Amino acid sequence: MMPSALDERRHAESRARIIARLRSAEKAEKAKAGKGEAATTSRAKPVLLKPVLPKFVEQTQGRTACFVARAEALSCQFLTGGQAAEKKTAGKMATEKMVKEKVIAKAALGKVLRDFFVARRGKKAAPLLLFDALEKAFWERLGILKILEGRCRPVEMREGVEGRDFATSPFPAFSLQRAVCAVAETGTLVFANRTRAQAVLTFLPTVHIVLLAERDITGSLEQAFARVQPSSSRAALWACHLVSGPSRTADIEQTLHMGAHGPKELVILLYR
Amino acid sequence: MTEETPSKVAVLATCLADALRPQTVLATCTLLTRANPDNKPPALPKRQTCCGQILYNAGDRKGAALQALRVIDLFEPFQAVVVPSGSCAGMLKRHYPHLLAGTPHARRAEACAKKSWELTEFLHLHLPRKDSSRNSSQGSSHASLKDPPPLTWHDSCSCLRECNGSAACARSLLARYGFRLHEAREREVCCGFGGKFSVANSAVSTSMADDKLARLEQSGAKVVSSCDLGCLLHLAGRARRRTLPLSFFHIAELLVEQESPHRDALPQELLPIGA
Amino acid sequence: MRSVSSTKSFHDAAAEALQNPSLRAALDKAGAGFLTTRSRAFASLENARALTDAAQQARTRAVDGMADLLLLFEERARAQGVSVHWAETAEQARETVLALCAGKRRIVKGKSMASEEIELNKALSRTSAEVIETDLGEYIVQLAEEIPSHIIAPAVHKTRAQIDALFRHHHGGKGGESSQNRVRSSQALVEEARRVIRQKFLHAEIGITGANMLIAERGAALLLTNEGNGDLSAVMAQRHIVLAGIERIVANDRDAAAVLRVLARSATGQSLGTYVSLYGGTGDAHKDTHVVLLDNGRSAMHGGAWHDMLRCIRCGACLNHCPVYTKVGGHAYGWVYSGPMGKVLSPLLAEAGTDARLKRRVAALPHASSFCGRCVEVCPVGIPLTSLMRKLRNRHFERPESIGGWKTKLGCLCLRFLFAYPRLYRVFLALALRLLKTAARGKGHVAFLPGLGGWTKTRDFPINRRARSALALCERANRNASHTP
Repeated sequence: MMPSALDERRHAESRARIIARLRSAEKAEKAKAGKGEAATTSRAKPVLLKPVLPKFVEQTQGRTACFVARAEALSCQFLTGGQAAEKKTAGKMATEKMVKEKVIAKAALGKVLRDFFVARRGKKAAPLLLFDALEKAFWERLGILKILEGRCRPVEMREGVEGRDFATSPFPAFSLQRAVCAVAETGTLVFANRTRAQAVLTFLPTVHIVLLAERDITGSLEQAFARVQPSSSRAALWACHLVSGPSRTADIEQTLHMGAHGPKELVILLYR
Repeated sequence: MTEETPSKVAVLATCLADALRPQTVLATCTLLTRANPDNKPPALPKRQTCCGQILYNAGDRKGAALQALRVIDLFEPFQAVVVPSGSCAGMLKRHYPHLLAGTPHARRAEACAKKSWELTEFLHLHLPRKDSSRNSSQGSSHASLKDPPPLTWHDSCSCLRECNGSAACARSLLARYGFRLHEAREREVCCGFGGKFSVANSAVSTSMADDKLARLEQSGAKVVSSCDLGCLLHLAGRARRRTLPLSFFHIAELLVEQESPHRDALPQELLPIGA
Repeated sequence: MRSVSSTKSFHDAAAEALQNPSLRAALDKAGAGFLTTRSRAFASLENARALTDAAQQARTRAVDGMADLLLLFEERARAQGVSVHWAETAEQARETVLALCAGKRRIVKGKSMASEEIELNKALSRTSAEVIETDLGEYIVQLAEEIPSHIIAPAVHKTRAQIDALFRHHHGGKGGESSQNRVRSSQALVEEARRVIRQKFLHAEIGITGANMLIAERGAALLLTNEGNGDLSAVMAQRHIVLAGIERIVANDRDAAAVLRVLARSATGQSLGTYVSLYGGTGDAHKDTHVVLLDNGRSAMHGGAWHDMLRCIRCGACLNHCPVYTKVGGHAYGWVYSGPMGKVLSPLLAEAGTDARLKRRVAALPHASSFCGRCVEVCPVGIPLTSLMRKLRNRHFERPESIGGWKTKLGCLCLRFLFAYPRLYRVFLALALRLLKTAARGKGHVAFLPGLGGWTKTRDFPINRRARSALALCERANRNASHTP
């Protein structure tokens, strides 16, 4: 088409002109302020040393309880020690007991997950279960892949897997993913994806099953951002995603519906 | 409030009330006389015209600044300027300092802003509560206090957003005078007046007025009052065109009417706006 | 683009919109919901004011230091393998995106106001590529060949019945004759859109999205969506193109968090959007990311009278709370930005562009406000929208460009003159009041007034029955009092 449109030199010239305009405006403003003329705009106040958090974040004692309550209000489901949690108790503050029930012992994870798939078993063939190839060892250590044998068909997501590979797959499919951390303030799960294939786990399946360690629940958005610094992670980060509940839309007559394009259900396995 | 009542008070009549609704200005003067410790009537400087808002909103910043200076000059000798309109009071309080910022008159604009009052704010502080015994407990059973008509209140945008506190002041004044307020829904939504807007964007402005009128009607009251004559003229004009059974009065008129003896519930001599 | 005629003024378009029953129905239905969700979201916070202050400071920092932050962003993004392109004009941005899409046929798009601003879809549709808007609202608007009528709810002006009809038309003959008459539930419509668009995602070669913020220190673009469509666009295709205005920059994570706290609350009443994603990294050999930085008039706004407008975070709260917007909808504003923010932004951006018709169409927007001030009250980053509109009106006054502008100027100059000579003003007023009284013929109002036709077309004009100004009456009373002591 127009190779010149991507010409480095042309972009450098554009950049120079844009920056020059911004700088000259800054200079003019400074000169004006120097003359003691009334500033036409409100200028920067001194930089805050501490982020301003919603009051409830500072006050919250139980991070887990806060996270659980907020995530449930966003229509997330928690699996409990017994079986899949029945319909969420939206909005209600989780009582201590309810929270306790939702924190599963690490050893019991496999069983809880198997029960979940048993409860979900439809008449059709076993559903796809997408998981990250890089995390295979982790899931194997937990014994989860073995325990799910026959209940679903595991699919390893690795670099180079393309969307069209799924063009004929039967949806709904499930995905299993580990969250880096969670945010109590907003009931949000945080994923740091090193590859595009990992990000597919977050957005493509119908049911997104997330494993989250209780100790990884942080208080505020700032803390969560700090956990996904590009420099701090061992491998380079491609993208990170903050997920608050299942996909939703209100674009038709402002009525809310779950499962617009992303997952229709967000299932959380909280463990200690 | 322990604040001392200023003795040298002047009224900025506002161009709209001066020209189209003198009753509002006269009632304002009556109330301010009552609010004065020596029963002295307020001054009504003869050389006043307009606060300059019409120029300011039309984009004539320079003309507005000139007019602001004239108003500041004119009211320099007084301790308080009382304005029976939220938008004009807002002009003095909020926009004069902004208009004259950076000029040699900035200080004077600030001083003018400080001594400017929307009518109900001023009355709320300074109108003596001599009638409190009569109004509070025995209320309407007292012979000399009339049974006021059910009333609904229109909060003008400038009262809500430029003279914060005016909404509460007006309500407390009305309660003091024995009015029962039937509140309308969505009181914070504009009625669509907006000065030149009501003429230049007639269709939208009218549609906004119709929404507002519907909500005022739903309140169940037949009498509508407000602090802003602009809104009232606009709403009354629309209600009259649609022959809606609503009548419109400025709050000052209602308060004066309520205290003058030997009248029926609805003011008779005082015709509603547009009637 | 059917719904925005090329020449219609706001005045005419608004009057037309008021006569459109389905538009009225759709707007009425949407209106109240936006307001309650937002006020609930802020009411549940004890320190809402502190949070909006923090967001305002974050945006102020970003806009004031834009030059340095943009350069930092570029440096960091490049270091992570992201290509950064600079576009001074809409045209240059279009060319850049077209060049990046060269040879590819299947393009999916997330919601981006910047792309609407540069009319990217129009340009792409002239190539052989198929472009699909994937945000449900944008998709509906695309099928209807319209432009969005709201910056966060693009299809807010469409009723369910209209959407159902659109889907039936474009998705082929699903459903027999019997179901043709029944309007499907919105759940069913969402399902259908999901099914159709999913196939597009799976085969996409290029994903184009906007960005809500560009985080300088991280060198990453932040994208906020509820549907997950933006992320699927970014993730599924091999090439991800981010198109963002240069003022989307913020300094760091902390400032981004401060803005995030008020953004979704103001927009939809959520504490955070469902998906907040940071894009800007390498690590995947099968993926390249490009960021196109769009100026298109923004740098000209910097530092001057319009500087404050650059703080805008496009939350849409001012639209939802505007009594004019909620009456007429977004299309009356003649361009992609509507409501109070559009009244300020559209004329300023149009000025920088080359479209003379657009410029004329949006020039009068700053005059279409009753100055009720509700937009200023709800703006989470404290943009003085009404003051900015006044400044724009001031500029029209100084340099009138239309007959209406000259009329206003003349009127103001006459008033200035009268105000300067109060005695003359009094004489003039007395005369006018006498005339009005005669015209009213014993009534308290007139039904027609030359020069105020806009008013008297729909409203009576209340007159002064006494035909004397308040000052004249007082003067007479004083005179009588002094004569009869």
